[in-house]
Amino acid sequence: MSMRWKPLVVLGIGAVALLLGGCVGRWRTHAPQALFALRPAEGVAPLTVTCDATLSYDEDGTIVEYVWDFGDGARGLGPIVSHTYQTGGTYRIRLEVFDDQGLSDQIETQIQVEFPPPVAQFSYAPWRPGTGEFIRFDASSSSSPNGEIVEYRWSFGDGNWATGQVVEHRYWYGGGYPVTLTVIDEVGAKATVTQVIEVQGGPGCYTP
Amino acid sequence: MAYKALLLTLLLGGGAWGMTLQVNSGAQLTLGSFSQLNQFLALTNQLIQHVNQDPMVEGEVPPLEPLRLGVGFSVGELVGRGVALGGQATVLAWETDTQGAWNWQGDPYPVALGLRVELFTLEVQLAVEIVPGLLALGLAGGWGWASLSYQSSFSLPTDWEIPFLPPPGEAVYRASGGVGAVRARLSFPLGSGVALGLEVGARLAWFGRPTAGGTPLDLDGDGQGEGLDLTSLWLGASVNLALEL
Repeated sequence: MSMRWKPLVVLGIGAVALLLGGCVGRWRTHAPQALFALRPAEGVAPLTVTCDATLSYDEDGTIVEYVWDFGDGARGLGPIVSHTYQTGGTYRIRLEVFDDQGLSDQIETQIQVEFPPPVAQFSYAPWRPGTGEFIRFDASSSSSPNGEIVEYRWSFGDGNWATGQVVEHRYWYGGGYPVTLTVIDEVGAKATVTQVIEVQGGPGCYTP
Repeated sequence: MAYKALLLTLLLGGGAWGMTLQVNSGAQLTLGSFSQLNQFLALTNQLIQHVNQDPMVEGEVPPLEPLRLGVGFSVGELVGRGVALGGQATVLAWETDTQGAWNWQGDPYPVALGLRVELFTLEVQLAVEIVPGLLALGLAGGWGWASLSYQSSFSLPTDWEIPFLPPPGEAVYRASGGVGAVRARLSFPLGSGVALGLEVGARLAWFGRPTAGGTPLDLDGDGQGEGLDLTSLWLGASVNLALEL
């Protein structure tokens, strides 16, 4: 081989070596890839969810640590964990994985936990009212696990309505009237209950 | 720029009487790394495997093969003797896909996902005969145009929440940039200026993040996106024709 071609040969071999290094990527270190599944994806509080991070993987190593942040102040460790959300709200769940080379990756998602509904209940008196007689409706037995009930709505079944925890109403015709109470608590959760009131005397005006 | 260089080479080559014109065409089997795209495919495969293993889910979706092997075609010409200059054009393609369906609570959840990467290059090439008529080394540089065709229809059983899902829809992402290659070609003369060639080479082709309608490629949705790295090795077989000018 002529001496004048040697530099070109050396240059070519060097270029091939560099390209091979770039192609194969053998000397690169890959970070792990965080991924998890969450079940159930939604529900009513208290909601227990199971988080499975075994979907995470590491191309050139082993994942040695799984760190969870459930978004409500609680944290967890391990590939599969469970957590209970006591109250409704939107929470951010974040997973961070670390491999045996100290590299990490993280991924997060949001979960919507619904507030439990309040309990709507009411009583009324007298038990068998007559036409023109005031009936007292009392919703003070209603309650909510989310806090205070902030609104009571009444529909008396004769086209009239009212608001308030305790209300009075009278009917001018006998018959059955569906009285509906809707309560709304401080987080906006609603509940409804209906009772049929039998009013004595006079012609019936309610047709179910 | 690449066009001009190629045209100049061809004109100069054609006018250089007393030289040898070599024309070659051949097929290539190419091996790419596609590190970032394959990371997306691995993530998708993790998801597929997870659902496949769910005892509540019927059916199976085959995992995606990583993007590695591709095929291509190359044509080129060289003018000169000992040291030759010319041009070449190459078309390469890689692809992977999967399709299937899961059934959960009586409802079908079809899956179809495919990726196809294509590369077209125009390069000026320089070849040096190490062993005349038998072994030559070549260097090439020029411009490449790459495209990534992506299509996905991916629905999961609905009581799952998984922060990653292959984005649905179809898109063609494009990018272009400089490319370079080195190769070694072994020729087996058949007579009358015709030879069979066997070549190995490596191509450097990094295009950064391709875009589709201004939207950068980000299949895994991590905000960092994926680059299109078509750096690859190839093994080729060619037919070479040498003409005395």
